[in-house]
Amino acid sequence: MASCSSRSRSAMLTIASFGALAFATTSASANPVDTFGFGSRSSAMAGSNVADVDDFSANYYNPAGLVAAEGLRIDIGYVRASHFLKTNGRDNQVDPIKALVFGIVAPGKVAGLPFAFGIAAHLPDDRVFRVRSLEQDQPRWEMYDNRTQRLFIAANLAIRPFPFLEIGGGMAFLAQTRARLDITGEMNLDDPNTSLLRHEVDADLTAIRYPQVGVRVKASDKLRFAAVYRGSFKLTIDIDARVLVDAQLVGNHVPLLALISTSTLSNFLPKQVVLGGSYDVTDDVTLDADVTWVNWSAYESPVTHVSSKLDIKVPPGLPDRFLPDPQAPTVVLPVNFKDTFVPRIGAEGRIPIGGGHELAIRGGYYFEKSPIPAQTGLTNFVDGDHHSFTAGMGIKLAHVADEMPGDLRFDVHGMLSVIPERLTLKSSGADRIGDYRSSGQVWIVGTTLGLVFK
Amino acid sequence: MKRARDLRDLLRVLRLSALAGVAISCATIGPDGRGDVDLPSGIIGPFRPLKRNKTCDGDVCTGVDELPSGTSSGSPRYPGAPPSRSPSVLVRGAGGDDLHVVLYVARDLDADTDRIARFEALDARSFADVTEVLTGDAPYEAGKIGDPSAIDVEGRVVLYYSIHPLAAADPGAAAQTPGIARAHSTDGLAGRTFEKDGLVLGIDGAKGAWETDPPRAPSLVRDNAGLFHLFYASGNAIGEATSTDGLHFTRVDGDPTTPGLDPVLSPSPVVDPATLPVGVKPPFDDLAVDDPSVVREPTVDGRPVYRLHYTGRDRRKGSAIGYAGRFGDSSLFDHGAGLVYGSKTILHTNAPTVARFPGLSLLFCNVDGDNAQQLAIAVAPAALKLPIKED
Repeated sequence: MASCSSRSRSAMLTIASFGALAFATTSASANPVDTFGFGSRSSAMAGSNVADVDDFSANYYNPAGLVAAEGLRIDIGYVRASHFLKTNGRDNQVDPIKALVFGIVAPGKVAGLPFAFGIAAHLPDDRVFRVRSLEQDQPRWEMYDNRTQRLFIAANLAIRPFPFLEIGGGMAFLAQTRARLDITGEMNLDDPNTSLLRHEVDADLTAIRYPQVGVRVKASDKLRFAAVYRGSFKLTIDIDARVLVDAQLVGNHVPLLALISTSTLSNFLPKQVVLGGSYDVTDDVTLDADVTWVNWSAYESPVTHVSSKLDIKVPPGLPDRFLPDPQAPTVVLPVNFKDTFVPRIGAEGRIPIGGGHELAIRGGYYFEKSPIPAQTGLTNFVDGDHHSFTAGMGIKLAHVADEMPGDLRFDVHGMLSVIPERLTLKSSGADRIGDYRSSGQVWIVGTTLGLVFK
Repeated sequence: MKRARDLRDLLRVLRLSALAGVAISCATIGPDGRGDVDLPSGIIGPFRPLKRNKTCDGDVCTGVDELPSGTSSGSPRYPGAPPSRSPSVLVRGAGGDDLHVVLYVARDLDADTDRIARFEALDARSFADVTEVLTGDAPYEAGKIGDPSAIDVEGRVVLYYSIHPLAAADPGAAAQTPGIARAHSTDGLAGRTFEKDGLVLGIDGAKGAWETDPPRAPSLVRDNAGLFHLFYASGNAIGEATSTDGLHFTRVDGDPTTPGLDPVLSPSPVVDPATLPVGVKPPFDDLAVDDPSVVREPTVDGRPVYRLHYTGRDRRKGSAIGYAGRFGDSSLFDHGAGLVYGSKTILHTNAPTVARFPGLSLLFCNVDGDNAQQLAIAVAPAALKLPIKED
């Protein structure tokens, strides 16, 4: 019990550390692991293994699977996603995703019941997150350009109350931002170097937590079923700016007050429900399948709401035509995304290669219908249906050294997502963007190195 | 116990590693990123004026000069052109660094007999080659010509132009036939010498009630079947007529579902400004639409799109450049959302013509300021930086 208690304290400290770091990030977008997978084994099987996962990727796919871990397990890996997304035949140069992935699964027992906790993260190389405010009609690869540029951190607990039932759940952590910017003082437009301005920035980072829970039922030694619920979240960045200065222009004092408020829905992750199963065809071959309902119809527009107010008292004699007009508040159109069902299948074959070592070969496929309706109007959320093919292999080396009582696992995976051509025909000849074709491919490669202490 | 201690140590190391990893990521500013390259665009506006704002401190220079020398900084007006007006552009370059254009402009402000001149520039901005190609000296013109519209037809340049009506009491008014006339080049696509047809175009069919004065401000395009589409202004609207030979036209009803002949573009409905939310302006074209300039292009799906830039006039005596479009070779045009060029500081823009290159459009138009009438050049997309113009 002592060791278990110590382990729990360490776990809580670790979770708290990750949580604190998550709060310290300024914001984030939707889930990159939704799009690119998580962990080489799960990704190689097209993410179909909601009923067949016990490594660190269970922190995303099914927290209940954590309790099935064979021992303390530590994984670290790397993933790269390269986009080749085109409109009208020209590459739009959507940024690649390069990320370190890592996680821990620590099983044990509490009150005699099998118990485990897990933490996992997807940590991008280039930026922890990115926010972009684009005009409403600006074409954008909505599912790839910005949504996936973010950190993902999750922490989960799992328990097996009965031999046939595993239950897990936890939280993913993010933060949203409210900020206020004040500029006050004297501004000399004739000689800017003599301006005396004070700047004050006050930012609040507010935690967002969204839940995920999963169950797994062992129907028999060969057959397992699972269900997972992932909660929704939305991240907003609200910035209020106030400029209150005494501007000097051509010898005149011009009091100026400008108020600008922006509210950006940085990103929105719809809730999801996954139902799946896993069947051991033989001792060495496993087939997995699941289907995910994604509540895309709740998706909210990422267009920034902007409102502004400008109050300038113009001295007599100065023409006011050089003053900007007040700007109309942004009228954001609904995006009208549609819910989708995403079917996934995967398979794994394991080949003993002697000495307790094992080679695994994996493959999978999933189809994701685009939730984005035909963009015949003002908005231009570019997307298409996805056919994703995955493959991978792994090697398990048992007892590689006396100092390491367990297995060393090395897995690699690759995925090709094909987005067939989609033709967007505008309903109005006056449309600023016009008709366009879009298509593309996404290539993903990754590797994971795991240590399992038994 | 040893195992538990080892485990604690291991977790501590991992925690510190994770902290370091995240801290390193947070402390590293990533590149801005891309993803917005070569996105689709109709490049129909909004336009911004070309800039001349290069400043140098010793060898260190900032800013870009997009206009030739002699242009005042920040001015959208193009120097050296007055009193030229109402341009019509023919694109000769392939885009990129090759922005070769030919402009036909009216010179109708500085003499009794109006003329049409030809400008040429390899960069669409430095118009050094200026030739007068037509003079309104025929009796039916009575010295009042303008609004040129140039189109390439079977290896020659065809120039349509307005004959502006004289007042009934003016000398020569009795012999004049206001309307639209035509001339064609005698030197092929060079378009430096022209011969007039010697008559005013006939436009058959019943007039619409909106046609309160003779057709003016022609703009011509030709469809895939070889049919000429003439867009012209009359009254406060823009109408369309078609012809197989480019000389004898028949009016086209913009909306056959209603009785009478309809224009293809009408002014926007009048809106009471008091009913609009703060910051929302009434339409810039609620009084009249004028000076059509039409380009016909295929979309990526092969259907034709007609891109119409025009002068919009409002009830507050302002004018600005607007955009309308339609798919297909007939039907009404849809108004675009708001103006594409003009503002409180860029006064009274009118008579547009647009040179479309891959990835950019250049707008040439009149800017009628407080004291002068000049030509302006503007570019879309607004974020584009034209190649630096070395004087």
